[in-house]
Amino acid sequence: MNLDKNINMDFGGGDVRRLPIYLLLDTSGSMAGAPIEAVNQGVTLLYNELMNDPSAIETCYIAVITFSSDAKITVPMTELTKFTPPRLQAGGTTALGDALRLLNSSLDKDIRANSPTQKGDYKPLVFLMTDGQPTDSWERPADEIKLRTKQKVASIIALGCGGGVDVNTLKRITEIVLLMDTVTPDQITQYFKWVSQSVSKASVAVQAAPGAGEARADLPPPPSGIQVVL
Amino acid sequence: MIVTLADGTQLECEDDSFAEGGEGILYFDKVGKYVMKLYKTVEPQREAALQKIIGTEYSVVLNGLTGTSEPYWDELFAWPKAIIVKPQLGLTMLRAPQGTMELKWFLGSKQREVIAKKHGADKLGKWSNYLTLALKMARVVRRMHFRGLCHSDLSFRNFLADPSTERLILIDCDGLVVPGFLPPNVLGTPMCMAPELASQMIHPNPNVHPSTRTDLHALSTLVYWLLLRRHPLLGPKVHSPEPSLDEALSLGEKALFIEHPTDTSNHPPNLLSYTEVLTPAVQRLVQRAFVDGLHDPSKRPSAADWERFLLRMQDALVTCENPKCFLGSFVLNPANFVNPGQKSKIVCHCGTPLTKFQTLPIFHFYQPKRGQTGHFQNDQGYIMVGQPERNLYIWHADPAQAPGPGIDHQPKATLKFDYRHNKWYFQNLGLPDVQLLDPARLPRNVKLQDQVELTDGVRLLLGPPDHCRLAYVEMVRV
Repeated sequence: MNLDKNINMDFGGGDVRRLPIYLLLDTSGSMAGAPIEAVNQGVTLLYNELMNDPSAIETCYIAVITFSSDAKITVPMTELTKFTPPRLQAGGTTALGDALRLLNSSLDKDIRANSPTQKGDYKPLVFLMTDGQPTDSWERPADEIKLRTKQKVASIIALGCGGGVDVNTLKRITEIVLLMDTVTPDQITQYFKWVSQSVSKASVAVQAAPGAGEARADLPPPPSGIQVVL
Repeated sequence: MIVTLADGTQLECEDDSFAEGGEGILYFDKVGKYVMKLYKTVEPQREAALQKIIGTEYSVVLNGLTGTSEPYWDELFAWPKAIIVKPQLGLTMLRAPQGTMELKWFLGSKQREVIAKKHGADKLGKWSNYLTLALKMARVVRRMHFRGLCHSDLSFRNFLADPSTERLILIDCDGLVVPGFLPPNVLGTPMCMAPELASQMIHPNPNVHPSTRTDLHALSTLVYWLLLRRHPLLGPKVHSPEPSLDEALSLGEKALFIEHPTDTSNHPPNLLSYTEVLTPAVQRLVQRAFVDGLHDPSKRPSAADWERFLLRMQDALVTCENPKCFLGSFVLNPANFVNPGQKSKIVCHCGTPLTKFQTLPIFHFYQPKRGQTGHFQNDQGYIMVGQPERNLYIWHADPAQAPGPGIDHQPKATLKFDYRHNKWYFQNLGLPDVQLLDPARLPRNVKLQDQVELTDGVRLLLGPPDHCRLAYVEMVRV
């Protein structure tokens, strides 16, 4: 018998629900340079912070979807302990619509449904980050996503970075919109720190707090420099 | 930053806080001995409640009669030591020992893998270490409850532990409920909440508060979790398709033990049952906690019950011969005497049989009948299994004694195995008036340092018969 098996061989039971986290990250050309570097460091910071939280380790799964001229699944839904922060590069346009379509199909594919006989996943948390206007058609997938949040199938938190973002676009996707006025590496770091606090809080609170994940009530206050758009 | 204590003493602490909770902000002192908590908002009764907690009447780290500090309890409680008056109201507590971490790190397989990768597999400790942690946890709760205090948030976040060194310490003791003072300000941590509290996540009920009885549910939950590495109530049964509502029901009004003896609707598949792993006496406590007392707080086992029978369970452990065993040791129960026809009759849960010994001595303890010297009665099935170097302490000989401050913790007798001749011996290290009673011979005094061979059917009188136990020795073929 190998050692790992003996560490893990256990008493049975103890299955825990998953808390799926999606990061939808804008990697368009306008993010090139310091911003994308800050996002890379931000994702690493998020991973490191969550790995220091035993509740997050127990429940969190992370997927990364990036979008520039088109969208792709950079990291498919992965258990936190097996997650490796990706190296993202910036270039191209802003296919937000494509990203939302991909998010929709991923949610359909990844999420274990809850039913009267099966314990499925907790409500997924989606963190969308973009710095520009969509360059593809995005309205329909946005409406489909909004419908999900209305039915509380997922909580989506959208962050607009800088003056190039149209808040109304984000508002069409989700109720929870944050705005970072001045995009600096430090602000991006602060944002990811906040994401990790939100996830940590959720990974404790989802367990047995009805209505937890009514995300707005449950999110910690955002860092200074990032405002909530009402 | 300089903080000033109520008596005028000044202490220097780090300028940056290391943690922030709902009530206060935490700092380390420069020396590394204390944690300082400064309250963010000060409730009117807070200072008076703190004075109560620090004073002789309620402080669990002070001797209740003399008011002197007891290091024995300082190791188990990060108890408030002094009140801070400047820059704002706060308190100092002893800092938890190096190496201790939130208990939650050790309760789930994923967290355990991360610990093993980061600190090495030894950091996880052995199963017997978790038994000691569970015992210490019961001791901590018993100590508080005997003082009339309820913690109200006993959880895997407020117990810090290091299984590899068997250290355990309770933190966050300033929010506990002092009778007649501040009411509890939290319901607790969901996974450790008693059903009558967890129900309030759905239907608030201002008449039900955290109490010593809800603490006892939390204690039972943590003990079960430590020893069986799963939550006692979270099984496969679904009460609502909405996950968080489902959990609130699973922990609250619909709570159902995952090993309920008759209602199997919440049983996970392939469990190593508590009935195979724990001693019969501890099994009865599990039943009282999660079957009889789950929805009837008056039937829950007390912390003293847990402490007494977990302490005895240590004496029933047998070391597994598989160096990679996931347990390291197991309780010798009738369930382990299976496999007739195989070479060894005693097999660990990992499948490894015992081979080093041909026989094992089992001590069946009897306690003296008060007022009837020379008469003994069964001691609720208390047994001790012989293992090389297993020690007997004063509390083995004298049932009125228990580990604690002021109690002699030196071994008073020890067991030895002679591998060459396959013989077991009892050596007296400090018990007065020990006698070996052999049905075939005259009684024999076992003086200090004397050792006597253990054979089937002999009895050991562990001291004066008016207050000391008698052990009936059975030699079991392995």
